Amino acid sequence: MKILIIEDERELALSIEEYLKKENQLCDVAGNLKRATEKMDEVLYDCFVIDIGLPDGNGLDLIPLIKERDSNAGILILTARDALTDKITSLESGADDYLTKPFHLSELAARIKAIYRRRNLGGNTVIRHNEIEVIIQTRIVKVNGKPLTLTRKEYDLLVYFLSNKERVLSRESIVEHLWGDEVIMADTFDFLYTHIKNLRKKIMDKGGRDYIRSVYGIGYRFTDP
Amino acid sequence: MKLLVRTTIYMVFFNIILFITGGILFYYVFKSYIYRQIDNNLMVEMQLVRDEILHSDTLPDIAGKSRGIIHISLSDKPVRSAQVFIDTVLKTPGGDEVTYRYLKFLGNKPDGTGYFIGIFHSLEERKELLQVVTLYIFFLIITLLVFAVLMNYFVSRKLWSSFYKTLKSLREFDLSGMKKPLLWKSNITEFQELNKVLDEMMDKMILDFNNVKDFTNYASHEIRTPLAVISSKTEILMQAGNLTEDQMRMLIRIQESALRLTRINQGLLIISKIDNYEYAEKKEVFFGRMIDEYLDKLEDMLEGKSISITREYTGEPAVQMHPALAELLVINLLSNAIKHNIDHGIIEIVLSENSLSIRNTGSPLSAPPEEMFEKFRKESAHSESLGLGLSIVKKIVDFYRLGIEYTCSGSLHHIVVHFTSQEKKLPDES
Repeated sequence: MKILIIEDERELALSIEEYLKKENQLCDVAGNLKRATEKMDEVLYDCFVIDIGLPDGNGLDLIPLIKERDSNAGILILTARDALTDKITSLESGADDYLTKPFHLSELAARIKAIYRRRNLGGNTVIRHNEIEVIIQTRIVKVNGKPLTLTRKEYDLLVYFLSNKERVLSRESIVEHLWGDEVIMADTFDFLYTHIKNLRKKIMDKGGRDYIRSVYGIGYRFTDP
Repeated sequence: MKLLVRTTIYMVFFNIILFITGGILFYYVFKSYIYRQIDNNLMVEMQLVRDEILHSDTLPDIAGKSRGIIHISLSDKPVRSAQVFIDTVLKTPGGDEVTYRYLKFLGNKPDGTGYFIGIFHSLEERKELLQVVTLYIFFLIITLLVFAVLMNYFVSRKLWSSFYKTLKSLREFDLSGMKKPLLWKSNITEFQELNKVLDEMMDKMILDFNNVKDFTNYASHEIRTPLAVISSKTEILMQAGNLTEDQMRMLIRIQESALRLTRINQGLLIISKIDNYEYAEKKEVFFGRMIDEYLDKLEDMLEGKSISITREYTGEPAVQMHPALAELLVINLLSNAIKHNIDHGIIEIVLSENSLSIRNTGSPLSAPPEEMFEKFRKESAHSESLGLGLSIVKKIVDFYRLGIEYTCSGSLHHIVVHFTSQEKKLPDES
């Protein structure tokens, strides 16, 4: 997957690039609209990460140009403004998704992959990791070919892990992904722990391996044992 | 007390004192004037009598010449000449009492014998005059008083009308609505000055308000990118495999703080945007659906805490709101009810055409419930709580002119949002 990151804050763009690159994805960075259009003429990108506030204009103006070249390209908008209003304008202008700054890189990665699956594979994707198989469209999970019954939260958790393999995911980022950021309670992490425990147990019950490692003090990592 | 009433009261009070003193003074001055006149007449008559006695050697027949009654008596021996005025009361044959001014004088005739003469002048006529005049004066004073008070009332009202107009205009001053009232032009210098000063003050307030608004907006937006850098860099750093536990913990603290700052920033931004009428768009909203969606997302968490939820929808409030604000209202109310709930607690949600009522268990409040709507007000020890949720709720409720009630009896909290108090006219889009 080829991704173009259009973001004028260089450090942020580099972080995104570094995080995404680890998964063997090709990333380019453009700091403004002009540079972005030049890049678009050179390479056919699958996905665009666009910051709205660019030095030479509004990032949303790029959307028609992108659609002109490749109607199948995924677009994720980054906004530094308030989510309530930009959410509507972003989606109305043809973007697939939006994220409000600051965001978790793991969340960004998960969103980009979701967009990519939706766009390029018509949603008929199967995420495969060794013996684990996730059929996105039907939300069916199989381990060693045997169907696995997961609760909605456990399913979301698994997909989130699979989108961020080999990464340390902080508990905060997982909680925000699962429940949103409105309810953060003292015992939220306990719920997360319960869900993760159940997910591990269910996968292992079906003969799967224990992929989820706990990273002390921080969170969890999905990695081959 | 109104200014007009107060000036009228003062006016009446001082006028009465003035008129009473004036009246009493007038009465005595007039009375002494009348006495002087009578006394003069009596003296003139006395002089006449004395002259005649001197020249005619006989007792004069002055009975016809005097306006009063004359009483004469004689003495064989000479007397010492003297005269004295006396007030006396005589009885008429009819038995009526009549007041007289009485001049008694003694003298000696040329032949050496003494005489004693009294001249009586009735005071009745004069007294009547005094009474009539006093009465007239009294009525005059009353009329004057009434006129003076009325005049003062109307003149003051006229004069102060500029002031009241200014006051009325000032009431319309709405800082967040950017509505600056046009002050009435007065032709009274003092009011002109007052209006000028007020006008300048309002301009200054609007300017300050706009500056603060711009600053908040700018700061909130600009803060996000550096926050995103902090958060992303920590996340990248976390991926490094060679970190010690302590370093990891520090990273997580950094990330937590960045997250917390983000939330504070978001909350404040929302409040300032509501203040700035940036959510003017209105749409039909469905509270029931929003509640269901939100609770659905948190289902497992509620189960984990063994919180039982009852939902009763008897109707949908027919309100038009900005969809984002409606959602914020619901989310903040519900998350508040969940966050501050206890294990095995309950939440009762009743949605009707007129109100949204949320009742939940929790720890008792230590402060009055109304104070919970204040910014950064925290009741519990939840350090994750920012204390912005309910003040956002209050802002939204105020913005749409809805009513909100928060009551708390022991460990049972009850918040009701009333939709009926919503006025037909919503804030203008400005």
